[in-house]
Parts: sequence; structure tokens; C-alpha cells
Amino acid sequence: MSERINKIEQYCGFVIGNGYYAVPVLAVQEVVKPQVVTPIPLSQDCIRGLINLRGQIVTSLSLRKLFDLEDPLDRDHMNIIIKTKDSLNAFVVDEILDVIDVDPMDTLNPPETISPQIRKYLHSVYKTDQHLILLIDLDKIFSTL
Amino acid sequence: MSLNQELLSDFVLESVENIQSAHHSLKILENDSTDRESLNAVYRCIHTLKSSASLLGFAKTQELAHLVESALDLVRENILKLTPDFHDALVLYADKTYEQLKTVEVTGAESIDFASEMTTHFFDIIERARSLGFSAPLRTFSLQEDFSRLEKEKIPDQATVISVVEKPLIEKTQNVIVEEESASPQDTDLPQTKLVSESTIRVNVNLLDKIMNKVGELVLNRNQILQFTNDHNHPFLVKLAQELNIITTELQTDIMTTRMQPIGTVLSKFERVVRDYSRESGKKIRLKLHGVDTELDKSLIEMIKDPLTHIVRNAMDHGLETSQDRLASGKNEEGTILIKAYHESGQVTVEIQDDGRGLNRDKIVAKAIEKSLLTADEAKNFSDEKVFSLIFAPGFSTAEKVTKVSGRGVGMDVVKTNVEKMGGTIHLSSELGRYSTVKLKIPLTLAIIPALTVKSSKEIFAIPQANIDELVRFEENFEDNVERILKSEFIRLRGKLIPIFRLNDMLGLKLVQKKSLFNQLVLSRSNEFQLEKKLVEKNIVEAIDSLESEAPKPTETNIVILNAEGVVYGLVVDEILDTEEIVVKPLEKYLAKITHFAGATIMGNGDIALIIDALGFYNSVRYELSDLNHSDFEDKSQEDAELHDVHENLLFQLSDKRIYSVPLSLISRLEEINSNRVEKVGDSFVVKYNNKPMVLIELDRQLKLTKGDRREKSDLKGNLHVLVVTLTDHVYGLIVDEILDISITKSAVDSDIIDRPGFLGTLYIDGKIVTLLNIHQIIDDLHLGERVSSGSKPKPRIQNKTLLVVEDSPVYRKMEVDTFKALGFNVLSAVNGLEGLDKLQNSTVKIDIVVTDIEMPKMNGFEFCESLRKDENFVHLPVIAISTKVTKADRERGQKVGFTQHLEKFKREEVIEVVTSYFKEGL
Repeated sequence: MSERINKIEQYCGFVIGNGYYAVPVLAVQEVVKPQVVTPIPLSQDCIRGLINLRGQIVTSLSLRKLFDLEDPLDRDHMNIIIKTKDSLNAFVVDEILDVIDVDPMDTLNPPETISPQIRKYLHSVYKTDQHLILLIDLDKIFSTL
Repeated sequence: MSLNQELLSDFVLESVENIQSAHHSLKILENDSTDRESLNAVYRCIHTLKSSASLLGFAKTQELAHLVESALDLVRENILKLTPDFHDALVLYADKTYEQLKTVEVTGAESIDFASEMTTHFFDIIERARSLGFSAPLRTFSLQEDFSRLEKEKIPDQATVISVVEKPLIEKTQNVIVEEESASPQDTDLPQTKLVSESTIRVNVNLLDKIMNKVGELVLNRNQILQFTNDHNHPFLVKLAQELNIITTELQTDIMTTRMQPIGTVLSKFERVVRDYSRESGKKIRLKLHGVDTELDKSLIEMIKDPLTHIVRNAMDHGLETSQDRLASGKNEEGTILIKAYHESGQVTVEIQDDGRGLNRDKIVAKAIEKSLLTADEAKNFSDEKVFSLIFAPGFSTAEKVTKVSGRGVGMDVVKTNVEKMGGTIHLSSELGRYSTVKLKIPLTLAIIPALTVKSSKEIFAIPQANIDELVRFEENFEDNVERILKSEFIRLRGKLIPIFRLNDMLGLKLVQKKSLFNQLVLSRSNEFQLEKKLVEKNIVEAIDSLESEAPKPTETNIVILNAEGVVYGLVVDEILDTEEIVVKPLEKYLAKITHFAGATIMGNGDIALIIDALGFYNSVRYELSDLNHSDFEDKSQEDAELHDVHENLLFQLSDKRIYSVPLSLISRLEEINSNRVEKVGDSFVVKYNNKPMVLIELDRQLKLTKGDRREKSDLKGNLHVLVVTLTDHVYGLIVDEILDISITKSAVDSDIIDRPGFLGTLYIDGKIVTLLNIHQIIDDLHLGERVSSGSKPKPRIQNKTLLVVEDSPVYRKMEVDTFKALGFNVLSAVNGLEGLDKLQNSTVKIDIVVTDIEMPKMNGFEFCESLRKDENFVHLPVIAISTKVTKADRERGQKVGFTQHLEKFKREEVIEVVTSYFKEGL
């Protein structure tokens, strides 16, 4: 029993459009409201620009654009600050959810019905009582950028 | 287990440092074997090593150290002299121990065969001393004895020493320091040097980086508080804010300073490298180090290590000759490598000089031609520095044989890349048979650089100060000064054509601005404290809408002239703001492909600015532009900077699809003129240009490339490509089919194939045959009525007079020779002042007049005239100088050196007038 509890992983949930997603909570440094963004000329579509987060430069990524969804520039949003080994990135999402406990034993392979543009960034999916939560594999995102 | 591991690495670290400092002292002893202080220092190092080794149970290391210590005792007691042999043995010992330490670090144990030969060696030394009758008992090794000896040496704080026994491992470091402290005061007759190690601690660089970041945050915080204070003028608050300001600034400076390290930490390593090489190769080499205290950032110290090693090895291997060769060429047998480090204009300069054979220009050129890096023709025009810099090309090595140390041709290119990666530059200078010098200029720190901030489309960018040549401002009429070739734009700056790029267009800043405005809108909406929310948002929306409409052109234009490794270009920006010290933060890896930027920085007000990478930007934009061959532009600007004897030609096509060219300097502008604007006046086409009529010349028809009757106005369609030429104060427009490119003439003009009037000859440019046009002749042949035909009035015929043309450009030389021949002169020509002098002095015919260019290689016009006036035969010889531009200073200098007249090159009629005037009376 105790072994089983040890394996529980925590995920930070968020919403984009009508989809529910989550990233490992250990990778999340903090969540911040919209910030001043300095756009980077000539950059890919999904890169919103740079944010000055208390002296640290954070690169802001629109997950909507990355997932090939509409992303009007004037939409209200939240930033999830993701900390990787050597950098900080902000995922621009619609809305933040609670932290979700995920038992890896209960995760499933992403179903074929999910758009390939989203599926390629997924690790697995997890069913809660209300929603199907898509678990994001951060490495897959950073390696394709 | 892990404790032992930690102890082991501590031991290795400390002992390596000890060996290094022993090396340093040995170096001093090599020059002055009587230096007591250095001898003691070596002794101390070895003693410390012995103690540490014994604590960890490395018996062999300990035994040998003991033996060496005993041998050194004999020197300290003046029984033995520190002979070169003995010295070498000590160096060898230090080297062996160094290797041993490396083994220990990896395996955790001593290597078995360590030291056996060394042991005998030192035994011999001691035995020899004994055999000389000195009582130098070989002390048996014991810790006890060590302590008694330490006691003898009057160590003040015995408690510490005793603690070595009780808590030996933990107190080890302290022990070392105590010994150093106690040893120094002993040498009362020598100046004392205080050791830095007494007052320093080791700190992890990551921690320093973290502190640095925090200070950065603090700085931003302070800026906001200062801003707030300005708005709320409370005296107490003002006082506090000012104090905070001062403290923060000082803190920032101090933290920066912690990262600075003396360059000596790297340079002193070369003593070993040089010694090793010297022993292996048999070359005698002396290494001199100057300015080892010069400080630079820790990360840079790490980065310059490899490039420097390469350079030093090259100097030893390629630069310095063998002892025999040196003696044969009358040099000191011992070669010298001098490494000098010093601060210069905010940068650190490191010079590595050897007094060896120097760089052989001819050999490098030969090799470069062999590797098809350049052609023989090009090589002639290259300055020495430019030729030398060829050795930085990948795979380039002139060493005849490959040695273990260098000669594989990898290295110098890596050196260059590494130096440039850290924002530095590298220069070579040399004199054959005397010396060669490599000069590295390195920024003080990678992290903080001075930069110019500029604004375009409301976005702020930073440009590293190191890349900025100058700032140019056009108060008005900027667009009229832009010259266009296809999509590329140029401006003329002091006679040189410089490509310019508009930051707004190149970076698509309109889109960026739109994104910024939308971002402001979102921020305002989500900010409940936003005052006058409605109004603010309305303004933003209006700004977004107005983005679509064309912004009014500003009256004044600012151009930043950048220099990226010799490539000079201009960047048109909206506004020039300020210079600031900026902290460079790298961009994410996935953004690195946007090579326009070198990173980002946070400005004083918390805004982020992208840092423009001068070279990366240029490389990116020049490919985006058009199918023009931009490498020519690059060559051009590079060579412009260094050479005078290169001339640009404008290449264009006529209806026969052949490539034609005229010297660029004859052309004042390139225009596109709509055929609707063209009027037919008599037989000529005329267009209003700058409020004056300009005659348009159809080159096709003039050169008889097209058959048929004179064309009517209706034959001209669409936009005409026109080269605007100014001659004798009149403006002509030459209509061409297509403007191709600008190219440099290096090859000679071949005048054998002239099949039509108006042709000057042919040139080979990039393997293509280009026909050079004689514009003067073409225009003269037009006989355009009285008003423009001042040039076609009957020319005075000159007879039996010899004229010397001194001109480096093949094109101009040909043109001038033709012109004067047409006047009846017997014409001689020379390519530079030196050759001109030679012709004057050795010509069989008397030269009656000289026409010379100013800017020439080897000997320019001024020097030429000055020299020839010294010869009494030529004191009264008319010397007409002609140059593209005559400034007041030029004129004054010309008068001083004795020019009879100084004219502008393009005023051909005036030149003819003046030249013929000397002979009119004689006719």
C-alpha cells in the first residue's frame, strides 16, 4: 500500500479551449497573471516573446498556437512558469486548475481521436470523474521547438 | 566512504596547487638560484605535500617528498649549490608528482612504479654531498621528527600543530597556512611577500552567479523605488532611497569584482608547457610573462586557456627556430616568448610574441593559392595583415612537417572561433626573421558589455559598443541619398559605398509592434488598478488600427554604422537612445536559430531589449535580400578598409545580354525613371532630373547593338534603368537593360579585343568576360550641340612630348593613356609612385609632364612628388595630381610636396585643358 502511494505523481492542471491538460507539478515554479511581453522579431508563431520575471528572462510560449488552435492576441490568459534544467519558460494557457494526484498505473495511451498536433506532445491521458486530462510531456515540447 | 572520497579530492586539489606554486618558485630559481625566498617556498610546498600524503597514507609520495626535502635542506644550509642539474631534477620531480596526483585522483591509490628512479636520483645528490665530506645525515622519516623540526623553526602557535595529530584530517588546511606564516618571518633578510591564500576562501561560481542574479533583481527593485520616490516627494523617503541607491550600486560592483581573476592563473601554466616542449625539442626557450595581475572574468579566463595554449605552442613550434638556426642567423641561441597582458580601453589585451622566424608572406600566399583560398592577382592587393590572417582559415598550416605539438592545421581556425565567441578579436603582425605577434583583445567580462540602445517601431534594441564604428544622422533628404541596386540599398560615406539595412523592415517590426500593443491591451484589462481604463484601452485600440496606415516618414534618419569583423554596414533605426552597461542573458536554445540576436538584456526600467549580433544580423539579412552576389559587397567593404588600389565597377546588361561595366566612381546615382516622364527634344530623349534637363543616352543604340531607325518616345516603356553620370558639370543618363552588381577589378584590362568605338577593353570578373565602356568617348561622340559639347571642340594636337601617367587602377590608367594619346602625347605609364620614379630616372626619352593619382599602393602621389622634387632634374617638371576627391587638407599637402596642379579626376575637360596648357606656347 505504502509503495503505491509513493508512486502518486502530482500534476498542475489547466484549461485551453475546452480541453483539460496537466504538467508535472515539480516542473512548475509558479503561476503568474499576464505580464509585459517583449515580442521577438522573426520568431516562430508560438513564441509570444520574453517576460522579465523579477530579473529573470522567461520565454513565453502560446500553447494554443503550439496545438494549432486559435490564439487571438487580446485574449486574457495565465502564465505557468516552467522551470527546466537551464531555463525558464512560460506556458500561456486559458485558466489554471487545481493540482491533480495521478497514479501512473491508471494512465492510458492518448486516444487516436485527439488531434495529432496535440497528441505528439502528450505523455499519456488520465481520467478523472469529470474530465479526461491530457498529460503533457515537457521534453517533447522543448525538443520540437 | 564518501568522506574518504572528499578527503581524497581535497588532498589532490591542494597538492596540485602546491606543485603549481612550487613550479612557479622553481621558475624564479632558474633565473636566480640564490633566491632564498623562492627556495623556501619550494621547500614549504614539498613539506606540505609530504604531510598531507602521510595523513592519507600515500607512502611513496611521502617518502620521495621527504627525500627531496632532505636534498633541499642541503641547499638551505649552503652545503650544496642549486646547480642546473639539481634544478632540473626538482622540476622533473614536480612533474612526476603532478602525474602521480592525477593517478591518485582517478584510482584512489598510488602507482607502484612511481618515484623509483627519482628516489635514486635524489639519493645520489645527497650521497654526493656526503662524499664531499659534509655531514648531511639522511634523516629517517618520522612524523615525530617533523614536529621537532617544526619546533626548531619556532612556530608561534604550537597548539595548531599539535592539533594536526589529534584532528589531522580536518585541520590540514589550517596547518598549511600556519606553516606558511611561520616560514616567512624566518627569512628576515628578504622582503616579505604576503600570500593571498591567507585571506581567501573558495566559493562555488554557481553561487556567485546566483548572488549576481539576486543583485540584478535588487537593482530593478531599487529602480522602481526611485521612480516611486520621484512621485512622492517625502524627505525621509528620499533619503532612504538615495542610501539604497548607493548601497545597491556598490553591492553590484563588488559582486562583479568577485568574479574577476588574475590572468596569471592561466599564464603561469605555460611555464610548464614551455619547459616540457623545450626539453622534448631541444630548443632553448625563455618565457617572459608581463602583467600577470591583469584581471578578467572567471568564465573568460577559462575560455582563453585553450586558444592561448594553441598560440603558445605555435610560437614554440613554428615561430622559434632551432638553436643552430638561431645561431646561424646571428640571434641569441635562446628564443624568447613574451606574453603581455594589459588593460586597454575597457578591454584586456593579451600579446604573445616570439622572436623567431616571423611569418613568411610569400609562403602563406603560395599555400593559400595552393588551397585555392585566393588567386595570385588577389594576393598582390592584400595587405600583410590580411595575408597573415589567412592562417586562420580552416585546414591551413604552413609547417612543412607535422609535429606532435602543432602543424596539423587544426588550431588557428579554432583559436579564431573561440576568441570571437567570447566577443574578442585577434590580430597578427610580424616581420620576417625578426618576430611574430598575436594580439588578442578580450572583453573584461562576458556578462556585462557596454552597448548602445536604439529604438525602432517603439521596440528597444541593444547593439554592442564594440561593433559600432560611428553614428550617422541625415537631417533631411535621407531617401535621396540612398542608392539602390535591385533590392539592396547603399549610402555613400566619405566616398565609400556602404550597404544599409532598415531595422524596421529587416525584423518585421510592424508585427512586433502589433503584438506589443495587444499585450498592453490584455494587461490593462486584467489590471483592476488601471486608472482611466476605458481611455487607455481606447488609445491602444486606436494605435493598433493606425498601424495599418502608412506612418509618416520621419524627417531625420539615424544610421548606426556597424563593423563586424571587417564587414561594414549601416543599420537604419528610428531613434538613438543611450549607451548603457548591459548584462547579457542568453536566449533559449530554440531561439538560437534567429542569428540576428546575441541575447537579451533587462534595462534599468525593467523592459527587455534584444541584443543585436552584428555579424549574425549581417549574415542573415544578406541572404534574405536578393540574388545579388553579396559576397562581392563583403569583399568590397573589407578591402575598402585596407586598400586603396581597388576599384569598383558597376556591372550591367544591355540588349545583347552581354555584361558591360563602367567604373562606379564615374556614376553619381542609379535611378529608375518612368518612361512617361521622358520628353523627346530634337533627336535626344530628355528627362527632368533635379529640376534640370538630363539627356538620356541609349547605350544600345550608341554602341550600335540595335539596328533600325531612331526610336520614338513610344518605344520606351515602363521603368528605365538609368545610370546617372556627371561630366563637365552636365548630367547624362545612360539607359541600360538591367543593373547587375558591383564588382572589384583586380585583373588587368585587356585591350586587344576592341571591336567597337566606345569600348575600353575587356575584364575578367568572376570568370566572366566583361566589356569595359569608355563613357567619355561615348558622350563625346554624341556631339550633343554646343551647350554640352565643350569637350568636342578641336583638341590641340601635341607633338613630340612625353607624358607619364602614374595610376594604380588598370581601368583609369587605360582611360588616361587613351585620352592623352588621342591628344598626341607619347604616353608612358606606371602603376605606383615607385615605378613612376624609376621611369623618370631611367627613361631614354625626356618626360615633359607627369599626371599622377594620389592613392596608390607602395608609394602614393604625395610621396612620389616629394621624392622626385628632391632630384634637381625634376624640380621644374609639371606634376599634375588628379584624385577622386580633393579636400582642403589634400590641397595643402599637395602644395607642400610640390604638385603643380591638383585636379579632380572626373573633371576630364579641366584635366585636358590644364595638361595641354603647358605646351600651347611651344606649338
